[in-house]
This record gives sequence, structure tokens and C-alpha cells, in this order.
Amino acid sequence: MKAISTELPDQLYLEVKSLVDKGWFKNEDDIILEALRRFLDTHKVELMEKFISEDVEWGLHGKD
Amino acid sequence: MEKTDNKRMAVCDAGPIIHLDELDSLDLISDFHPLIIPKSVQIEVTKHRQNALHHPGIFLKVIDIISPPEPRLLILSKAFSLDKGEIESLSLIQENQDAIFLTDDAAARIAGEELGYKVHGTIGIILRAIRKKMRTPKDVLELLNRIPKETTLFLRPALLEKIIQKVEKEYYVKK
Repeated sequence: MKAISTELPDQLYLEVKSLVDKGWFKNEDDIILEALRRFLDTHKVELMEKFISEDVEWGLHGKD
Repeated sequence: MEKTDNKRMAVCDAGPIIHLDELDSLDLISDFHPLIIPKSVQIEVTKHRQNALHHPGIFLKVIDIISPPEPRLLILSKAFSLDKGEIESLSLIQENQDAIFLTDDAAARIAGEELGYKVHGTIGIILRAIRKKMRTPKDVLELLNRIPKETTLFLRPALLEKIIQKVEKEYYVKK
């Protein structure tokens, strides 16, 4: 396991803390792990590059 | 610059509005008419960029979604862990099928395309400004160069450089 230290904006931290306080998550680490896992699930490099390439094509040569 | 007057409907989630506002370029979506957003996106944008939705050039239509998403969207939203704003935006696009869906979120984009809609993001909107005569190629290059330092849009530096080179090449812009 790797430990990563980072800074969160105050508002974001308050929202994380609120979820823990209300019992939705055991602790703040669990939320960050879950959020990161979900983000990585859908943000594959190849896919994002494909989307940007499509956007470039639409932006420069699209019809609408 | 002289603008073209082709207005098209669009549904937008928070990303493109926030990113374009960070570049002071919200006028680039002013020809989407109306620009439809769900209430949840209005709340999210206002939280991050307080004045973004008061831009005078944007014909904004805010819809308060009451009914739950239809079953297929519900399945997709769970599969892709979409947030409330993204789910509601996709609900709105289902009610406005001629509209373009504007999002910078990869998961929302996959879901939107899966549902059969046209989906584009901030980069496409910025480049489109040349075609729509809202910006010169040189202006667009300046915007692209400002993205890493002035916006929260994630973009791989080498990919951004590739886009910049493409614009320079297509429009014969000298560095």
C-alpha cells in the first residue's frame, strides 16, 4: 500500500467530513479511495484521448 | 467578428460552463439556444463560479427535474457512477433529442453516446469558435495556451500541444 498526502479545498473537505459524520462511510480515507476508484474506472487514457480527438474534428470541421 | 446566426439547442452539465468561465469565454456557447441545464447543474456551477450563469449572452433555460430517470439511463448512471447533475442532464437530453450534450466528463460522455446522442466538450467548443467566426484562429490558440494554468480542465500537455499544432497548421498561423 502507498500513502499519499494531499490538500483538499475547505468546502470539499467539509462535504467529505459530513458523509463520515452521517455514517455513510467509516472514515475519510474510505471516501477518497472510493472516489478515486470510480474516477479511474471511467477515465481511461485511450478513451479520453479518443473523445478529445473527436472534439477537435467536430470543432474544426463539424456542421453544428 | 461577424457571427453566424445558426442557433442550436444544447444541454450542458457543469464542466464546460465552469471551464469556459475560467477562460472568460462563456460567449462561445451563446449561439446554443436555449442552453438547457438542470437545477442541480445550476447549483453546482454557482458553487464554483458564482457569476457564470449571469452571462448576458447566454439564453439559459433551467429545468427542475422531478421525475426519476428512465430505466436505461438509471442502469447507465449506476454503471458509470454518474453524479446528479450528469444524470439530470442526460434526462434532459432525452426530452430534447435534437440538442447536443455538452460535457467534459468521460463517464457522462460514454453514457450520452451509448444513448445515441451527440456529445462534445470544452475543447470542441473552443475550436468551433473559429468555424462559427466567434474567434480568430490566433485568439483560439491563445485560449488553448491558457488552459493548463487558468482552468480546472484536465488535459495531457502533449495532447494539448498536438491540438495547438493542428490549429496552427490548418489556419497557417505563425508562432
